[in-house]
Amino acid sequence: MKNKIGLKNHILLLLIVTLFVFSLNGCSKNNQSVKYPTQPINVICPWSAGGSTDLVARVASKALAEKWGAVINVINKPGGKGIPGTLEALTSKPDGYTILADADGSNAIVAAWGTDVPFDISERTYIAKVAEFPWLFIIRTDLAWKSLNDVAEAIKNNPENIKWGWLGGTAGADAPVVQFMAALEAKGIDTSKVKMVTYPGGSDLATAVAGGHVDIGVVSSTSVGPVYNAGKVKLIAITGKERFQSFPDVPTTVEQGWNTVTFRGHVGFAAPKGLSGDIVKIWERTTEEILKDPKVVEELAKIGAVPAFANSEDYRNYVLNLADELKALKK
Amino acid sequence: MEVNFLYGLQNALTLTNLLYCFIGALLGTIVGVLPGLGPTATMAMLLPLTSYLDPTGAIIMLAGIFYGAMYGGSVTSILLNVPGEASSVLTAVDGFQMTKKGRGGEALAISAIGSFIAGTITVIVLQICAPPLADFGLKFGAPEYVALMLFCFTTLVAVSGKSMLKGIMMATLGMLLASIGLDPMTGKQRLTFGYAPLMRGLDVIPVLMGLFGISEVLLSADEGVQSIYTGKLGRLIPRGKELLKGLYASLRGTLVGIVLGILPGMMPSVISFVAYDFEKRVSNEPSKFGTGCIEGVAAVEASNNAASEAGLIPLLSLGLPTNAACALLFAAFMMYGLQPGPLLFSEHGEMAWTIIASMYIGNLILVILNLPLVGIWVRLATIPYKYLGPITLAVCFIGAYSVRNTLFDVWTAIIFGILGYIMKIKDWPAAPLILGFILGPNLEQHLRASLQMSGGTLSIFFVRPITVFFLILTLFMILLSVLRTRSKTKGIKIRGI
Repeated sequence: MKNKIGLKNHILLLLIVTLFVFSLNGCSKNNQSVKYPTQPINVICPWSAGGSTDLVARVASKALAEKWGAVINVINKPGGKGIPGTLEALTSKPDGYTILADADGSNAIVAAWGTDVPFDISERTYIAKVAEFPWLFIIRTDLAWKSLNDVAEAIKNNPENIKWGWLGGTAGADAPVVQFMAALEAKGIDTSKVKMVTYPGGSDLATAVAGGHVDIGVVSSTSVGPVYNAGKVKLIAITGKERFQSFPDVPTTVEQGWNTVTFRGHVGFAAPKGLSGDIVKIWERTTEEILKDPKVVEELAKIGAVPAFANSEDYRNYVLNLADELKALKK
Repeated sequence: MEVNFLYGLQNALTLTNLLYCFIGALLGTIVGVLPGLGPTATMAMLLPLTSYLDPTGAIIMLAGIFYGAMYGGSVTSILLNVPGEASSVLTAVDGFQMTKKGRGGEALAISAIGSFIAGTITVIVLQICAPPLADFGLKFGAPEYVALMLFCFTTLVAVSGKSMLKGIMMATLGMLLASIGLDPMTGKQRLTFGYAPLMRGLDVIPVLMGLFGISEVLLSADEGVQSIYTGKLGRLIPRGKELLKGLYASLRGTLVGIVLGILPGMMPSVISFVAYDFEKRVSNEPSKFGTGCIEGVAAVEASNNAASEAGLIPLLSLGLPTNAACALLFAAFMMYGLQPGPLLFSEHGEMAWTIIASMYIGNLILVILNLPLVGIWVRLATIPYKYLGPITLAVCFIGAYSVRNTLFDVWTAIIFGILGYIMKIKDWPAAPLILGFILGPNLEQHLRASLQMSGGTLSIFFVRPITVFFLILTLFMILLSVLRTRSKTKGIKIRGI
């Protein structure tokens, strides 16, 4: 099996090199070096339909497809914490017609905290970062806590009475939790007695906080917005430096003096290793263009995301640095 | 102008909205009929349309797909013994037996009527008392769910057939199979043997396609079946006593479906087992269940319809999506910058009431659409099996593939097809395996979360009133079953599933 794939890859590499040489040839005549896309593109989302990654990928794909006059199918291959779907996308042909809807869960988080991950996150073509979204600290409505400082105080005094809902250190939403715990430890507060309760997903966690079964949790703005407006949970902080358009009254973690609790989630596009530089350029350019379109910005805002373009190189560095940073923190 | 239900009804009856409602119901029926291609995938594909359609129309259509799929879901279970989703496993149990006796038409008709009754009653409940119900649902935390899941395991009695021991063993096997993949809490690999595709774990649909559909084809080929039913087809609509039985069963199924469906952690598939068990317990002739009993079909279909529509209660009143299809409906709301929840009614009352009103109309459209189709569907059973068998196999493969778009799932279906064939020959019941498969991961998740809450002690289960109530109920049910089997002497043979 392995040999077969290896051989295939070699042939492909040869093809790509040939293509590249031809395209260089073309460059001298005009700038339109490769004709792309000429067939439908499959964007593989390793998470379920309706989640953050899926929604961002769908908004961006629709805009890209309109620009190119091409067909882009977003295909969900969920399960196994995103790992099998990611693997499948990254072991397909690097021809630019199979693209991965990449996110923290399939790159930095899995590299930092995953066990037996069947791929290395430096071994893929990072195409472009598309959007970011903040994480929100939510608490039960009957708690008097007003800020993260109150939470820190409560943990300092009575750690065993606090039930903290999270996703078990397997998802992007857990990164701010780990950052906060690390900040507490740095202040000499023992966090080991806090009861960490694991939920399978963000919406289950929001439901548990709304029902008062756990005291605090970190979720995305999309899963908490309605419950918050229904008065079932309180918001005490949003991660990062800038406030967020959907909740302008909620102070940021940095404003509250927690300068190391800044993690925000991201969604981007990646592809198997060896995707031609020309195709990457086309994706980079068009992605940057669509993210300037007010219509796309508005659509992203509705699903709780903000445009955060980064080109191929910057995106790669962003992910690899993030993975190192998360690895350094104790899960 | 005051915005209320009547206003919504007026709005829902405009030609455009009626058209959206019809398209949604029709699409829902179609994707419901095809196993695997459920409402979730369809809604995901149509989601980009939200940038072209007006919000009310689009949501009416998507909601139509959501509840319409529940109507179509029974067709392949009843006619081909291919349940397209876990919630129609028990429809297949009695429905397919009815088809074999030439009563497929009646089974299809009662499932459409039962679905209509359940759908309509649930919308009434949704309209009148959604917010308090949703609040009640929130009271259920992990310990409550543990007790509730244990209670659901008592339904094993109803679906185990002749031997309780075999039933328990099959349920255990189901739980074991469901634990393949990544640990839901820590992400560590379990039973994957280092094989990456197994990290995904097994999905219930390919397992169903194999255990029920493919094994049925193998068995029929083995027995040299000419066609599923060779005689003259019976009547299409049940009459008299049979109809009455079916209607009462539908009402009971609806009740079970609504009561359990408002709990965010309950799946329609589990609820359908409870409804079936309940129906068997109140019946005068429990031994008839599994042999083609109209109450079995009606109760199960009504309960899963009620349960899935009741899932809209937490969505519309609190903005909490409780399953994948609800999550997509939620996403559609967000694409329009709307937030489901109490604010939807105060800020966009016109739209909220139009959607609710459209659900009454949608259910009516669905029953009108589905009843005449019965006459066409039922003829499937008379097609020579040499043509129908391969078609069934193809449907199973496509169904298995389309859930997660992987070939791995097709292989899973084939392996379970062979397993199911052996189980059928050796008389091992398949329904308990499915029950274990769907309950196992949930029980594990909630049990572990409960113990994390309590710091590892079991006392947490004895201090919460709802938990204690369900634990006592569980014990009571077990005791009742034991007494029943004792009092029934060896003479009476209970027909298995």
